[in-house]
Amino acid sequence: MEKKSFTQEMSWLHTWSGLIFGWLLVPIFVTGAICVFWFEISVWARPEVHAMRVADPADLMEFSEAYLKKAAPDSRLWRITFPATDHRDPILTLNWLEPDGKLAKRTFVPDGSGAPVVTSTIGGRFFVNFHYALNILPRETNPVGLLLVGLASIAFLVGVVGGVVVHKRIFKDFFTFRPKAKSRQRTWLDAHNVLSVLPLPFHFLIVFTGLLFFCYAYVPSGIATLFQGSESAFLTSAATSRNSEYGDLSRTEPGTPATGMPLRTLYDSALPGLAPEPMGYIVVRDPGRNNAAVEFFGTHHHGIYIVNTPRVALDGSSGEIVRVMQGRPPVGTAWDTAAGLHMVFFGGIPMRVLYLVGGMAGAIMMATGQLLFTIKRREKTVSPSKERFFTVVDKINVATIAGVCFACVAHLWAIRLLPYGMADRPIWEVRMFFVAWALAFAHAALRPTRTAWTEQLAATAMLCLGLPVLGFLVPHSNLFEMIARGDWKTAGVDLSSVGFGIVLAMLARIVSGKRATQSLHKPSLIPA
Amino acid sequence: MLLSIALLATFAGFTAICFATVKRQRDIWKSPLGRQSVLALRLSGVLLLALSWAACAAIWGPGMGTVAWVCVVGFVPIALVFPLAYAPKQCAFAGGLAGALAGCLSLIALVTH
Repeated sequence: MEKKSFTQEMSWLHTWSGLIFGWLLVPIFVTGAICVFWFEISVWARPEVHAMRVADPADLMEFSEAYLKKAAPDSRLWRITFPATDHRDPILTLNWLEPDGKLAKRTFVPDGSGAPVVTSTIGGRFFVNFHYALNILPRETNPVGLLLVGLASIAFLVGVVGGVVVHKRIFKDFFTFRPKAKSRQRTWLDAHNVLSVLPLPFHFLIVFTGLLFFCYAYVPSGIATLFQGSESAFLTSAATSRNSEYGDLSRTEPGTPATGMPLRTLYDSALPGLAPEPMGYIVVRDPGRNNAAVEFFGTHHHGIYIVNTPRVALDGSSGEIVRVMQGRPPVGTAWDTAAGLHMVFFGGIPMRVLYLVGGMAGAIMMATGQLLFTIKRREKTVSPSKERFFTVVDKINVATIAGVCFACVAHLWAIRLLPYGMADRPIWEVRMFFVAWALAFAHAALRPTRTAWTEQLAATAMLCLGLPVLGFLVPHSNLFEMIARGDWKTAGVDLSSVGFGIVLAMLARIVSGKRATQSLHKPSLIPA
Repeated sequence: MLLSIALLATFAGFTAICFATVKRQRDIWKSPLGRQSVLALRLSGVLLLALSWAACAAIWGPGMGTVAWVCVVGFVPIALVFPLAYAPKQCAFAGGLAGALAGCLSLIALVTH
């Protein structure tokens, strides 16, 4: 057998891993791009926290302590998470450890009134869960989703490197897009290249940092050897190794009941150690006992990453400062930087918009590659059996590209429309995503390819355009009111939905071929 | 304003580099440009890209600014290449306009800062 050249080998790899993993990677990129704004979507999903004043941490602390004393006086651990000062996550969250080892959770509006957050919703969290673990959770017990995403990420990096080898002319054809080329393959290849070459550094960065983020879960042997397989032991060690001489604050046994100092007083003594960073959260170990330990965590916006330092720990009964911790060990900092670059906790809204565009461009780049697979092969004569295979590929392409967009918007519709008092509402919101996606698969299977493309894109466009209308059915979510009170972050969800709707409607029109046949007698870009 | 400088300068810079290639020059001029004009186009392209980095760095600092610049340089040219196939002359014009605007805005930013 003739030996294949390096380029040919790379071409095979690029084509097939691109096609197979692309079916996974396009949905991952679409949901990943959306979850750049997942905090905003979470606020959008909870009408009662729209544009609410965030109270002073000291006031929230008093309320939280009183609430926890009543709700969980014998718990061994309380955690009070303050609303973010930048309004991205304006919710006060109280957690405590139940006797059975489970973590209880209550959420409250941030204005200090003590009113609970009543909307039971997954918010934007589903997009996060899907893009890193395909919603197969919890990953600690069922890592299949996480590993599949990891595998797809490696395939993406391989595809990017292979792509530079395969598409030899990328630099020669740097600014080339030939919509009027005789062969459709040419046009799509140009588009694929344009969308690949310049964004390559960004796409490499986003996928590589995504892999780094869970490196310890992808290669678990290190933790298995050094930490007896305990991920939390590893994470604690990575975060605090520099301060290991202080040991862990958790005690084996609760002490005797004692009246500790109020959190407010402790906060005043902790404040000099925390300043100038805003409060992040408080962890209280063995509250109401003589060995109570209270730790205050600041939120340090250190350029690219956010870490929960400085930390100040105090003795809960005497009020003495036990330890102050600034900064993180180098390993922790490296990991924080990778995580920060991936999750874009920096740079504000403009930077997040850039990331959103980047993620979407990545999804479109891969989609053009998926389409190329059959377009290129159909330009030669094909046998009926191959044609059958290509039809299947086409249908999967429709459902994984247009279908996943449809499912994402359907999920947002479910968040708005499901009855607020419904039991297991978050679970149903997620189910609606998969129901919509399954519908998209069924629809793609039943309809001719081009019709399926047009109809799914048009349906997605209509759902996107209709999303703000649903806000009128829900309290505090009227788009005009949101704009009038300057709540741009929440209104932005609706407005971007309209933006995407317009783009998708245009796409649907182009794909339908109506525009092309009206103006020019040339074949449509999508085969019938 | 700094972000619009970055976006405009990137668009203009890529337009300049793009029209420094013979293939693209044929789209709007009858004969290819002379060597010096090509060099001038390339140089202004590189300078405009440098300006866009400077604008990003001015907003976010050199570290984060570079990340933003990688995004900007990655996606702005997409907005150039697709229209280029349909209306090369208008693109060249838009590129020139973007460059002029970026220059003016940078001057304003320098003066008011």
